[in-house]
Amino acid sequence: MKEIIRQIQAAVEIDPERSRIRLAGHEVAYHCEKFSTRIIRGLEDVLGVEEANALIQQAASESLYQPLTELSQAETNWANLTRSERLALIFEVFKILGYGAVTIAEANGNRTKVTSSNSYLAEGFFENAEQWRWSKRSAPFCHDMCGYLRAAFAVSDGVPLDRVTVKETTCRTMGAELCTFEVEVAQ
Amino acid sequence: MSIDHNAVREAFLSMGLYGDPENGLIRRFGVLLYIAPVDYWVARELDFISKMGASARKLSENVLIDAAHWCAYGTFGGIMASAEWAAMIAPHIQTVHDKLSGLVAVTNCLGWGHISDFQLDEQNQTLELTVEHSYYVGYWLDKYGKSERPICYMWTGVAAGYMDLLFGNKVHEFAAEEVECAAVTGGTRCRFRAERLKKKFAL
Ligand SMILES: [Zn+2]
Ligand SMILES: [Zn+2]
Repeated sequence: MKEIIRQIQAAVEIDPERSRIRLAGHEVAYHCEKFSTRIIRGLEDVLGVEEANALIQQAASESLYQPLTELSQAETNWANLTRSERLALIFEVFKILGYGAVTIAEANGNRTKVTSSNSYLAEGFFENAEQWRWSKRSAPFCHDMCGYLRAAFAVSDGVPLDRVTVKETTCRTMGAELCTFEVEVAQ
Repeated sequence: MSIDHNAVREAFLSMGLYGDPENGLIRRFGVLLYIAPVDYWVARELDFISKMGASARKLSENVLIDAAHWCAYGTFGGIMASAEWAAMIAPHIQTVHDKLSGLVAVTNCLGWGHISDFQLDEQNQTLELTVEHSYYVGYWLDKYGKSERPICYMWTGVAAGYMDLLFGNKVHEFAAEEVECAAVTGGTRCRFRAERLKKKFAL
């Protein structure tokens, strides 16, 4: 696993003519928390929280599905890994990408509870809450993490994205200690 | 330009801008960065625009431009106050033009497309920014075909945010618009023009 993480980290290239970045063969870009928190709040204002979550979750899950599938193909031992080992590898990739740390808190058949004490968007919310006068939220905020987890479970279980549902049930931006994501993979 | 853009890019690459192995966060340049596939950044904006339809287009465009404007002001303000900026770029800055050149050098490391030229008129406080290969364009053309309107919302906000930082005291003293977009022309070039907001209404 360490080897594959090292390979990913070594695989960043900037094309100086186009100023576009490739990471392990996929075009990626950096953004900061100010941009994402603002955009996502803007989408929520216009669409409502649920629809914004659906749109962001869809975009996030689709964007990571292929790169994570390739990761699973590059890991020679993938077929022998348990589900939690596969997810642990994917969660290490999440850390490389700056999404914060996530862990499996509970696994029960096709339902899994994933938690994070520093999911990216929640961190971004707190980073700016005082300056931008954001008060405690009444709905979860980590819509992109829902999508990334959806891609992670689809790849770890070898199923299409539409078989996986993810719902954030507690969020630090609402005052919870941890963000909790309930993941279900349909049989 | 007295800022060496190649040196900035090399320095940026050598920084190893990845998440901390423990907490998985990239706290650099005074902000929290994160890396995502271009398809994610672009899909969440362009699918939003498409979903809102023509009747709400102006409103949805403003949501996206405004977010980017705030972001550019906050983020590049953070970057200019960071230790990385002080070490790499500040020693080479003598003029406002140099400062913008430093911002452009950093922006060109983020994967959004390439700022190939900028014309800064300090007297009239206007900026013209040329971006090649804006990251929005390929996605839009692939999914929706040629556009009737410019679509590079983030860049529009960035052009205005730069000017707020260079000449203003707060965000929203300047506004920008995209005056040429590759999603409309089918080429590779987008151009943006920023000016003081009050001048816009004093025509
Ligand atoms: Zn959360
Ligand atoms: Zn454009």
